[in-house]
Amino acid sequence: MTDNTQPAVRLDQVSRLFGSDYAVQDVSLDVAQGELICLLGASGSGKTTLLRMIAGFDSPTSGRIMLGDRDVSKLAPSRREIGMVFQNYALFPTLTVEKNVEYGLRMRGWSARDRSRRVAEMLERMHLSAFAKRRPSQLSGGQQQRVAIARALAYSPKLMLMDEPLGALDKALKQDMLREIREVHREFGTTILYVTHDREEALTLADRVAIMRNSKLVACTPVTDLFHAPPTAYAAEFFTGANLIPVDRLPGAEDQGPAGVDLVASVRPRDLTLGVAQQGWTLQGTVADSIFLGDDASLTIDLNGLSVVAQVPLSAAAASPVGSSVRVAVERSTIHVLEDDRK
Amino acid sequence: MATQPVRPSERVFSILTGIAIGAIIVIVLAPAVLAVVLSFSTDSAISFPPKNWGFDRYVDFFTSPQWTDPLFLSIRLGLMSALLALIVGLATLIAVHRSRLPFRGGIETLSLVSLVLPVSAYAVAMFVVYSATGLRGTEIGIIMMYAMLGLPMVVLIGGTAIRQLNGDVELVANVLGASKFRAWGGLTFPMLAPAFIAAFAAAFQLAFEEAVFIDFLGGPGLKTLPKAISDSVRYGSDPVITAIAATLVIITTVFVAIPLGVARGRKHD
Repeated sequence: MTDNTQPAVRLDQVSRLFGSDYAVQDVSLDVAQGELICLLGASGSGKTTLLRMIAGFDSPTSGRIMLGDRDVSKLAPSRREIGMVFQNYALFPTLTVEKNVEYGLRMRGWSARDRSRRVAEMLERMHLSAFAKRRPSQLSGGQQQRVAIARALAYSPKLMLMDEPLGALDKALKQDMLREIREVHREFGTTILYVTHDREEALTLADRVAIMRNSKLVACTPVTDLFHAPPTAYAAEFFTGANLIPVDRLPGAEDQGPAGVDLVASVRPRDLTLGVAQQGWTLQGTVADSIFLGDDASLTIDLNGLSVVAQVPLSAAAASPVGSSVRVAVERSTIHVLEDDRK
Repeated sequence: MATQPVRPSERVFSILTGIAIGAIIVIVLAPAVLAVVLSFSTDSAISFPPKNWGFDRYVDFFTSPQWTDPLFLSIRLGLMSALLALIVGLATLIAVHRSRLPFRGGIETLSLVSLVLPVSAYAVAMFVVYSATGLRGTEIGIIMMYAMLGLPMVVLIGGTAIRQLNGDVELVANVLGASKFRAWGGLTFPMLAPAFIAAFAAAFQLAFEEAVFIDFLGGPGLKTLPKAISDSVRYGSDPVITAIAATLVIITTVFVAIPLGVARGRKHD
């Protein structure tokens, strides 16, 4: 029955109503075996509700959730064969690190010998062997999160859900853990659905990025596409910080987009230059702010009521102080004309 | 120069604070210490300082049914009422924290009423109720009364522990394959157990040393240890009460120390 082309997870028009409001509306998504998908969205966008439904803490009011070839929409969490890592770790405070990792194996009826072999293996892999007999409260935040990951992966679940797992860690530790999660993902080949609101995490980890907004899934594409072929204007602005310029400011650009709708041209800050365009449009503006970024600078430029951000060389920024008039060149080759889906 | 004068005055202040705290400790502890010292006297009347020393009063206390009967009654009433308070308190907490009952906040508040009612007014009201229902002078009546007094202990101490629980722990256990029942028994219950042991100890202690309600509701038949002591003082003063008082001090200390110790042990875990 099962073959490699079958998705590990299939969400089929999943909706969740609270009263008369949709928390999640008509979300359909296929996740391939071994894929790592980052689910990104502002708070209140529905990403946590979606994750809770996949875990089984909540059920969809309509639609189906498939894990492999099983419809798990109505199945209890304990029977779904998934692993889960929470932001606050949710380790068992009364059990040692070792017993925490062992818990899932015990619930699945593994023999004592298999359990202790597997636990030793997982602790070794997550660099936790020295802490086996400790209680969670005696560990640092990073160590606790490693225990949570070891516990979730111990019984080789088909799917691992991670709910902002690095949200409580400081930046340096976050980098270490991101690398660790990448390695673990590569080694174990586990399918991972990773909820975050941090673009950097998504960039580092994701095979594909799913963006949720107002309870709908607005995009699910490889990270590179979000930069080079953004699927929607909102996704481009939200993920890459792209500028969205209404096409009436760029005469002739509307020919590049779909017909008969509100169109905007998405252009990334680093593609805007100061000066006259070679093949495109030259817009007049005033520098409103200038931020030093180290290797270059970020200028906020007011184009007659439309604010755009340009990432320019330091020399260009020095020549255009705050308040000065500048010309902004928008090259035709750098824009993507998209339907304006922000409203 | 400007910062110099602060230091001496700070030192004076800290010395004064130390003296005040020391004085308070002495004043609070002195009667308890005095009772313990007096209990080892063999003088025929209570007087300080004792002239002769010995264990006679403890021998009296633990061998004469006049005192051992009240002692065992108090222990029995304390254990039964603490158990009843624990059962009712647990049911209350489950209703408040794990159900979707309407007015569940009100249930919690209601369970704390015995804390705020003025004791004598409450006792008079219960006297009327118990007289009318025939509960006055019965052991079951007193157990119910003490359970009502102990209930706030269970609801407050247990409620605090439940609020500190991380709700995700049970969810994780479910994902890991544990049934709801198993997750509760194996994880949540051990996390809560110390709080409920503490609550039980507090409810027991409250009932064990209670002296007001027993006066109103006990009738002639039920003589608890505190009642026996106050009777003895009323009709003369049997020096054996110093040994009883000393025993109470020690038992009370143990029952306060258990919850504190348990709470501290958890924090260090």
